[in-house]
Amino acid sequence: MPDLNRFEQRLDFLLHATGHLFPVTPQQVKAFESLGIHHDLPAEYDDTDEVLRRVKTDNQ
Amino acid sequence: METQQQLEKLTLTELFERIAGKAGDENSSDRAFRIFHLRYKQRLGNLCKEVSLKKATLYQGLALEIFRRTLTEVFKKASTYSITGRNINKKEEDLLVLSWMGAIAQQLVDVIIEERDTFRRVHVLVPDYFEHIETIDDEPFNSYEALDTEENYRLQAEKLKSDKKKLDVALARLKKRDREILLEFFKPKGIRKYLTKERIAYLCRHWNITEDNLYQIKLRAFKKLSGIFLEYEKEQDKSQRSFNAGS
Repeated sequence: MPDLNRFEQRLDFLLHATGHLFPVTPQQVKAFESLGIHHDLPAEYDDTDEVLRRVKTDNQ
Repeated sequence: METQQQLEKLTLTELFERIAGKAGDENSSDRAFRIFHLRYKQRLGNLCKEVSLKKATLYQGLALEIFRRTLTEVFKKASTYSITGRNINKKEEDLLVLSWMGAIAQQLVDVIIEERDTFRRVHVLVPDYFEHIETIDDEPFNSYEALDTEENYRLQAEKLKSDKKKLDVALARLKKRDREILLEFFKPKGIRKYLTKERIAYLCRHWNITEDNLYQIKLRAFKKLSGIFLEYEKEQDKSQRSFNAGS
């Protein structure tokens, strides 16, 4: 059982550090970025107006 | 009015103060947010794309939706940002804020998919920055500093790449349902310390199983995954040792 407990902690880190789940600690973010994964982002990702519009709509 | 150049030079704390309307002038909020967006767009976008690619669901535009909703929540929670009492450099500050965005995004993935499945609005538990920091404070904050020498960083990255390969193989050997259920139990605890009743009910409905089944499936999937992963690791170690002995 101790082995499985240890593995559970390791799995937790790996899932968050390899993009199966979002990284939620600085260590996991740093580990994820060390993998050098890069995605080209389409132009929609530049659209800050859309985000600002949502903020304003949600606040109304 | 603050110039674009002045805004671009602001620290993260100063940017958040402006986004939250605590500093600057009446135009600063949106403009500071645009700078924040520009600074973190690629890093947050990478995360959203990568996690979405691995989701079993075929939802066009999932990554973009997570990206936009995460930024929306960050804007709304800007006033909760603070680094008080922390002696950290810019790189560490970036990692912290990205980890906060990760915690928000992780909550949103489930919400977006559940909303699409059920055609109803799902309540989101978005953590404040304070709450997020409290939940990760148990982690040794400086433990990743050991990676700061280039050699250590490279070695850790190599090890992580090899572990990632083993994990991908092991996860692919699980049934889709079992994989999704297992992952559910590894999602950030944060302010949601355990699966909520609503989430359990949704999962049981979605997979057509009872609550008991849910826990049984999680346990079986974990045992199977650990078996495959550790076996694969043993084989790799063995072949590495024979390779080393031969060379």
